[in-house]
Amino acid sequence: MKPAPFDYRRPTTVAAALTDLSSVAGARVLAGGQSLVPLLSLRLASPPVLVDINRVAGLDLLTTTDSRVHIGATVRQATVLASPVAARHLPLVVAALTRVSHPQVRARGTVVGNLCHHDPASEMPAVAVALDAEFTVLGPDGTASTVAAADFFGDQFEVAVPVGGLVTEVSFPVAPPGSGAGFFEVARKARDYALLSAAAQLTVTDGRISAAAVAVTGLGHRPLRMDTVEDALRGAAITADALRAAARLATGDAVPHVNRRSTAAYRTRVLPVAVHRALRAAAAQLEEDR
Amino acid sequence: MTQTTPRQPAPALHVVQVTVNGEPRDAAVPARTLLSDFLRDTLGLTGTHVGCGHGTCGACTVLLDGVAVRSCLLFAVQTDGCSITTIEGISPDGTLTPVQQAFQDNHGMQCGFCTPGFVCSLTALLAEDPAPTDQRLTETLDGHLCRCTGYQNIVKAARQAAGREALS
Ligand SMILES: Cc1cc2nc3c(=O)[nH]c(=O)nc-3n(C[C@@H](O)[C@H](O)[C@H](O)COP(=O)(O)OP(=O)(O)OC[C@H]3O[C@@H](n4cnc5c(N)ncnc54)[C@H](O)[C@@H]3O)c2cc1C
Ligand code: FES
Ligand code: FES
Repeated sequence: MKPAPFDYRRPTTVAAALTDLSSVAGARVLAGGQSLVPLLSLRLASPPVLVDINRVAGLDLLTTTDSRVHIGATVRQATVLASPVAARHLPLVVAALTRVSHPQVRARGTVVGNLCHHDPASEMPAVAVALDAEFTVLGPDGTASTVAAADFFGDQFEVAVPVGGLVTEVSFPVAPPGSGAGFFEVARKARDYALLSAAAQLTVTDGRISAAAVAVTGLGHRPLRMDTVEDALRGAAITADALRAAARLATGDAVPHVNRRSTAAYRTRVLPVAVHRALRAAAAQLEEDR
Repeated sequence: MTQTTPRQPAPALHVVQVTVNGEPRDAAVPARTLLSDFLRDTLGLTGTHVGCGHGTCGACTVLLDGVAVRSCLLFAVQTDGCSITTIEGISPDGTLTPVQQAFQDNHGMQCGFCTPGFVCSLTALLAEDPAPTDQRLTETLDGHLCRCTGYQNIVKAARQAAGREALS
């Protein structure tokens, strides 16, 4: 089992990476390689050129500016999990990332690469959509645009990155004071891909929920924001009944063949349960912080 | 390699210079050479085992600049300039390290195929955190598959290596 031959490029600047990506049709970014290399070894993909961005200067930064945390394209999942900035400001990202594979894989895998891969069974797209993450996307000519998570994820394994383009970072808003985050996934094993996962962040002001962000992945081909659940929660007192009632409103069209491990009927059935557990975990975190 | 048809030109070779188990090594290999194959076939270090070849089993785990990673998910050319430790170099003086000793004491292996990976991962974890929580230990072990032991003795070995009582 070996990848087909490819041309290997290792640019050190963003400009050179874009040139390499545009040099041949089908050139592909190599970030952590934890999703791409298996595809190459199984010969499910055989791009003519791989552009290794791991040594591109400036992409490995984790910074906090104007109330957002910015995660560069080569920042490893393990780096985010070990970072005090993330622990303090991105509780939902941390809660989800601990479910993404094993430490040995997170040591290489990047947050941005994981989102660009957009496996429908992946956890992080739910977080990105729930928190209104923003992607900095460069076109082949270097023009930068900011793409909201709601517009970033297309059909499964598709994202809004133009041919020859590159994502340089993703940013998440800092969790406001009084926030609790919860993540729940239905999976066969801990740290395996999810059958269905739910992400929730609740912000409480004066005993009432002032902001609620809830989204799921695994139901269909793209992450889904749970608007009706959020609407029901906003303004409510944070009680067990309120969480349960809101979770019951979780609905969405389940697509049959998102993965081979569960049916649409099963995922529709567990949807409100998963949302409820994520909400309960968020409430428990609020309780702990008090 | 059998799939390479004669029509294709020979792939370009990349010089890879790395420090493996403390010694400088270099070789010219095609870009598609996985680090696992580079270690085993090019350098003859067959202690790194390849189970699944696509990231699932952890048998191929080595230390890359001190961090436990899967060598089947990296191309050798990507590690140019880096330092790699394989199971052959895990004990600098050739005597059993505390992790290796713990595997022996607790009968933490049967066929031994998975063992180099487990030992490399635990060595990296304990270097970074000499007293990890049980949760961290399990999380690290979880990155490896063993088809023989049923894991109980591996958990015991890991707890001993972390300086804790083995759970009976
Ligand atoms: C054993 C195992 C278990 C796993 N379990 C899970 C899991 O439970 N949940 C989960 O979500 N993932 C899981 N993964 C995959 C996860 O670990 C990967 O890290 C992640 O999906 C891809 O990130 P990467 O940095 O490795 O990207 P790569 O594999 O390098 O790239 C993935 C894709 O994104 C593209 N890409 C990467 N970076 C950019 C960029 N900056 N701009 C544009 N395109 C880009 C690449 O071209 C490629 O198409 C698992 C992997 C393994 C090996
Ligand atoms: S051989 Fe690398 S993880 Fe199985
Ligand atoms: S001892 Fe045989 S696979 Fe672990």
